[in-house]
Amino acid sequence: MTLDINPAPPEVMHIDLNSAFAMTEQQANPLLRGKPVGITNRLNNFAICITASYEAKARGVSIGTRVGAARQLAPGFVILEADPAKYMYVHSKLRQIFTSYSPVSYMKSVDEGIIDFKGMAPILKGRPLEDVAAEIKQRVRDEVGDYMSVNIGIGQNRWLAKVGASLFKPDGLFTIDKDNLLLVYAMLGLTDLPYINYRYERRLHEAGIYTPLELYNTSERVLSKQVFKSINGHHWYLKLRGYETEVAFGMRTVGRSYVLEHRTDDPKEFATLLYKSCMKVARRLARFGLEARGLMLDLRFTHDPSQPHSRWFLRHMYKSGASRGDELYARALELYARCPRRVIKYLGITTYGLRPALQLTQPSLFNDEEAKRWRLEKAINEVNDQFGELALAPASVVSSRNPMKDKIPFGSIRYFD
Amino acid sequence: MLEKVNEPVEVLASFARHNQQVRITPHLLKWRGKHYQLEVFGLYHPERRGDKRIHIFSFSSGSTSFRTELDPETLVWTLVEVFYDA
Repeated sequence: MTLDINPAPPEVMHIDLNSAFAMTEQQANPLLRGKPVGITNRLNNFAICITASYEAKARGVSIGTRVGAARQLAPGFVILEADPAKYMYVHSKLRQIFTSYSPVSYMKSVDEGIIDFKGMAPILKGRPLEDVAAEIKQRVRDEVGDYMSVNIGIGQNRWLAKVGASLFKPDGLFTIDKDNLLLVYAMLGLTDLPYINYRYERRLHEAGIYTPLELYNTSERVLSKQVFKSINGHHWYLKLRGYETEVAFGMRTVGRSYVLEHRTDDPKEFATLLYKSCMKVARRLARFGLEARGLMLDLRFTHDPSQPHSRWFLRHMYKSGASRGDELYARALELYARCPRRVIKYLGITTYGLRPALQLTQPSLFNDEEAKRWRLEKAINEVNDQFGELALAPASVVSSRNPMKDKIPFGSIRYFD
Repeated sequence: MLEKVNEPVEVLASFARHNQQVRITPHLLKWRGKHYQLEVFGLYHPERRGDKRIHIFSFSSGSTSFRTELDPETLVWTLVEVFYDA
């Protein structure tokens, strides 16, 4: 049985900021406007650009280009270190604007959001969504900054709205409906579709699918059994026809990842970084009132031709939950003890198996040591809340060569205020 | 070229009511004996440091742009960075 294109009107709007971080820097510093600008998490020649301005992109600089190479590609290239506070502020302003249009609106990441207008017809009173989109563009210029522009796509589901927003960058606006959907597919390549990367493309090629139209015409059975070999095939079949498949899940993991400024194979130095990361994760768990049973340690090593793998990870589900920094650290050390001794360049800690934290509500008769640790953790958190992150930290952490400053996360916004 | 400065400076600013909030706009900056008049306003954004909320203003004057901070407790303005157009 085949399913036709969703006949519903396009009522989902996807809005994303053009080259978000670079444009925010160009907004802040008027002298950077019209110039090739890149943003990096670390200011050195080996660092990579996490965003490039349109002027830099026009000269071949893209996400992932090394700063040294970007300087050669784009004369006059200006590289800046990411400024998370600035991007979070722009994010909060965008969120304010979006939520003023519909109760079903949310940010998908730092720089993109969704407004769902389903059921809003009595309020819109026949006003076309393209008119609303033009108003949003103007409000972004008025309320965030006169140099800021957004791409807006409108579609029957969130995925098609995202496709629409990607079509005419920068400052684009496009609506995809049941009448032009196949025309849109005809003018795109597979990797132009959101969530289809080169690896996915290869998988599609192996199944004889070379264009979005061919993907659209592939049966649900083939997509599920042969191409994606999972429920994803069913989801792709639906989303290509304009049916909603994206469901928001609650928080399932809390973690921290970090690329080391100073790579190390020194267990003492690494233990310091591990402790710092565990403290950060503990702060995040406390903020959401959670504890975690599971812990995963994920490490990446510098290239070594004699070794088959450059990544090592280990996870363990414990019987009891942990939420304090010292508890997480003890567990992380247990996992780290089984790691091969190599030069580490990346450290990731993820807690999972989350559940509401058990707080000690009354002093224990038998476990006074535990109560003391809770009081200490609480006191440290209070000092850090007042004076800033890691204002109070163990001496070993302070003396570390790796500062572990907060960096702007790719995509994720769950730890934002 | 970007220069990290971190020096207290004198700033002439206006405080105006705007949509039930107060909008602060710097107009004139005095730094190392020289006056710089705001020509293009860039961005205002706050930054939380502990329980303090620092107000940050970015703007340009001629071929120089500035990043200044206002500490709401001490009311001291600090020039954090200067960018010179090459």
